Amino acid sequence: MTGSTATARRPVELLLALGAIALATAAYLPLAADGPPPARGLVGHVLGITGILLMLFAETAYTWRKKVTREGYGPLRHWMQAHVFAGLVGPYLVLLHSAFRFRGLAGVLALTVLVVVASGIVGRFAYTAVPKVPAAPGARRVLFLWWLLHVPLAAAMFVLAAVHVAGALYYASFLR
Amino acid sequence: MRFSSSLTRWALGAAAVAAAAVLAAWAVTGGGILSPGRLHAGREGGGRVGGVASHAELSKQCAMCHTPPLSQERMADRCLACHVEVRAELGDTTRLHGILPNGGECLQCHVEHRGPAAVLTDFSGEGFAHERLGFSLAAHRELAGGGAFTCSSCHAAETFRFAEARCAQCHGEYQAAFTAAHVRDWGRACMACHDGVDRFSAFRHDTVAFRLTGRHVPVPCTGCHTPVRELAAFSAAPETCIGCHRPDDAHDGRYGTDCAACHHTGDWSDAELDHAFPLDHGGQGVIECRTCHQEMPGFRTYTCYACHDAQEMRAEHLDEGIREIRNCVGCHPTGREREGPFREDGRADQEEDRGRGRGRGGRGA
Repeated sequence: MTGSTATARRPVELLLALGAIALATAAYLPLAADGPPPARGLVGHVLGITGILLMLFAETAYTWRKKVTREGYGPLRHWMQAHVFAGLVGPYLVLLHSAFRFRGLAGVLALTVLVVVASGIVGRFAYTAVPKVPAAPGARRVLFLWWLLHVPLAAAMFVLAAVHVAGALYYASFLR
Repeated sequence: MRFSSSLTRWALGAAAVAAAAVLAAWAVTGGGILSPGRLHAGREGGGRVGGVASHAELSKQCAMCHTPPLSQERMADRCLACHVEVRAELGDTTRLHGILPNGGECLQCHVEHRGPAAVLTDFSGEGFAHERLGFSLAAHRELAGGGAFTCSSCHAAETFRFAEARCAQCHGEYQAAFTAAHVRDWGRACMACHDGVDRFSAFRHDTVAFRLTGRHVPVPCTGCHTPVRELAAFSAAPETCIGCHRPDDAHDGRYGTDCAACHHTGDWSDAELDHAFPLDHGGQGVIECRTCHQEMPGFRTYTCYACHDAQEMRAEHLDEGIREIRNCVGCHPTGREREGPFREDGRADQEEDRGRGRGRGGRGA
């Protein structure tokens, strides 16, 4: 029980995510020697598809696990760790996919991703850090705002992402 | 549980708002929210193609260029529907798009949505058979100032168009005097003569029928080939002496046009006439050409009967049994008296005696 608590305190998922981001950067930089690989190319597509799959996983897996109350799927905490990992690495890959061009729907989508990730970081690391004591109800109430932001914005983000992907497939990926 | 369901409602509401916002933005921008960048604004003086002056005019009409992924029609078909001049090149193996292995695959080289003034063509030129356009790049590998040639060394970056003024511009940078003189002598249509392989500075004139000898050797090309503005015009240079030297004719045309009969290319004054018949008619002093060659300036025929009376000659020769007297020098090659062949029947002495007597009386020829 003590060990489990200790593990929970150590932000393993954050370190893993930073490690994965470092690895992705190391792989990306040589490919970006002549400028960022365009989103429509092979590298861009791999980045975008991997990123959106990780983001979809972050969204669906944790939500699903929260609704499943039966035993046998491991502690919810691990799913949260996976959510944080995928929720950081996925958007980073999507950022690389954008080739740092933020225009039109893709630009709005990038901004939305940024807000979703930022609110997620606040929720995971700031919100839980505020002790659940009656002495500080105001602080918790303020930080509750992240909750109102994170999930609905994530939903809006996936709508935008779906349109973006559909548009990209129609107008770019299957160009002949 | 209640919190969770309210969150779900929030999420669904946000998704619905996002969808509505996308639809609204789509309607306002005419699909522009999916555009990865602005379209080209056209070139000044570029004219109108397909009814528009630029791709930018089609910014809200995605379907003008984009075809549905599962359609039989490809984007290239849409390109070529407007760019008929490119379509016309496809079947012509001497023109750019006809030479390119995938000349009709527009999207392999041409890109859009990179901005109103962006370059529309990404073409490295690698493996392109440039010589099939009539100009080899064999001699254009390295720039005079060092560094490799790129397409933009000669071509306008955006359009790949080529202006021949570019030749003189580059060559003038490292050989100014030569280039200026060359342009003055031969004009500005460089490719009318040059194909990228020929270097006429090392041209060997003995590879053509007209060999250069004597004082023709140091004459600059323009001495004979002028004005020349295309390669074919080189062969239009005169091949006869008189073609160039009529103004030099010290004889004022009196000796005809066959200069080489007496002169060679070494020196005008070193003339030598290979005249089989002695010019002094066998020691009789200076005789005017016209005396024998009455149809001057042809010099191809002669007559002896201007001096030696034909009637008299015929009678004399008949006396000796000679009927054929048209070819006088055949029997009298030196013009000297009494040189005619003697007959074997012993009448030679008689002829010699008579010939001597008449020779003195003749006017000489």
